[in-house]
Amino acid sequence: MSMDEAGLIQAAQQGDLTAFNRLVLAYQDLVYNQAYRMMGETEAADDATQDAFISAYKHIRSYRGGSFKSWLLRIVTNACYDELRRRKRRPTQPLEPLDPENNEEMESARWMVDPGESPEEALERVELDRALQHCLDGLPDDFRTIVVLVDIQGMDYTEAAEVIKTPLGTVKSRLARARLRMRDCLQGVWELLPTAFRLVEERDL
Amino acid sequence: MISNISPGDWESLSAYVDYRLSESEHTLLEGRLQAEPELQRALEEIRRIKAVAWYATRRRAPHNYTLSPRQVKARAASPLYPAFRLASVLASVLFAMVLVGDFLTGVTSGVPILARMAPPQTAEIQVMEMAMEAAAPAPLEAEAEPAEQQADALSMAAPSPSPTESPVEESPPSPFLGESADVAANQAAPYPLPTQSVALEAMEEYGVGGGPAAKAAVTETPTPTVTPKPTPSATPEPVEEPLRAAPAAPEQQQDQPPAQAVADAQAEVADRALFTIPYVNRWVIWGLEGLLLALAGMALIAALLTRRLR
Repeated sequence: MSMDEAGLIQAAQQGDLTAFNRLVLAYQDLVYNQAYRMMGETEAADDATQDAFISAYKHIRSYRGGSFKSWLLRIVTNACYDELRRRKRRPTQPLEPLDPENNEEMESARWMVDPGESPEEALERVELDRALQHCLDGLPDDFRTIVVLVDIQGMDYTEAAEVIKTPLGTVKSRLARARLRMRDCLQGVWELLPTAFRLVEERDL
Repeated sequence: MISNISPGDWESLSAYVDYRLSESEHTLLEGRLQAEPELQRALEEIRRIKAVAWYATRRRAPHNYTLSPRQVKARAASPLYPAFRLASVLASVLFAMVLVGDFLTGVTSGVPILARMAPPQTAEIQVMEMAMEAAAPAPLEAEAEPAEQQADALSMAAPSPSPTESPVEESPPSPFLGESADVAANQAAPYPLPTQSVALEAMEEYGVGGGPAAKAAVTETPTPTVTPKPTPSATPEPVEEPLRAAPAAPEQQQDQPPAQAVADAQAEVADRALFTIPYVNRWVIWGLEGLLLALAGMALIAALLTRRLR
């Protein structure tokens, strides 16, 4: 934690909203990505992120040091768990965004395209992203959380254990089982990966 | 082609990819990887999974999530919510208690539910008073007709065993009120004057209560239906004073029809049941209602305040 971040946290704990908002700007992409991968929808991720930051400001006095990033991710992960539990009680059908051309729901994920990419790259990335999210959605909540934290957010086992308040050995075994399920689900999408990520077998061939 | 390795090996490979194996485990696994192609294929699968996750789109937040002072202010008022919620819950509970209390006591509805629920004690009092009513006018009037009317009224009002004839006759008592009333009507004139002690004896003989409340009701309630005329067989000691204290009562009782007297007796019993037990609880209920009103007002203020803050 940098001294600047520590100072901002201390100021926020004393009620400085500007200091807290600077922390928000620094972590909002991370928190939003966690929420999106957990929820699988932009609208739900938006709500969960907003709720997480409000909750963080409300409880920032309870922050007692350690990784502020882990603390924030724990808050947003819990917010996602709450929402997922609520959805299991009252399941709903999510809506795709409307196509501006014909005003109909967009079945493909091309609305996620980054305009800076070439059309081919963008298409591959979108398809890969969809496949990844599809497989993540099929995982149990606990498995999904650990995959997102370690493989997508890039946290190490210790940080992930801190976020989900779980022993290190549980993180290790849960991640291995989650990856096993992901492997079975991701069959057939390997060719969408860029060449640098292709299989050893294919490179050997 | 999917690798087929044991879960333990898969977990070791998963940790190996993330550099979470110890030195010895790491060395051992690398040795096996050189010798076992299946294990190497599984390792590549795990790496691909990580690659897909890493290569997936990193999303940017669609907008800034900075908090405004208005949001913070609205949230700052939230500590009041628990108190208001508690007030609402308490109001609901007290409201339910008041409803139940009303139902049990019948205070606010004006219906003497307790009296109508007819506890055994009240029934005994009625029977005893009716017995006294039935027996009292007999020596005064010395006519069978009023006794018959009274017996009819009694049979309609309370079909319970009547002890009227037991003090004077040695024969076993009839459990039917109409039958005893007929006997009383037929043999009214020569009978000795019945008193409250006679009625108590009758109750004991019939086994209808004899509880302290019933006896108290008999001894405390002066019956103006007898005259101070001496009788050979009655036992006037316990009732002599109350009877002399109300000298004008016999004329009034003679003017009243027996059915009306029975109805008055029943009303008195009902009033006694209404104004003894419920009055104890009435203050409690009033207190609960006051508390309920205060809590409801607090909840209303909370609702208005919350609406304004939001």
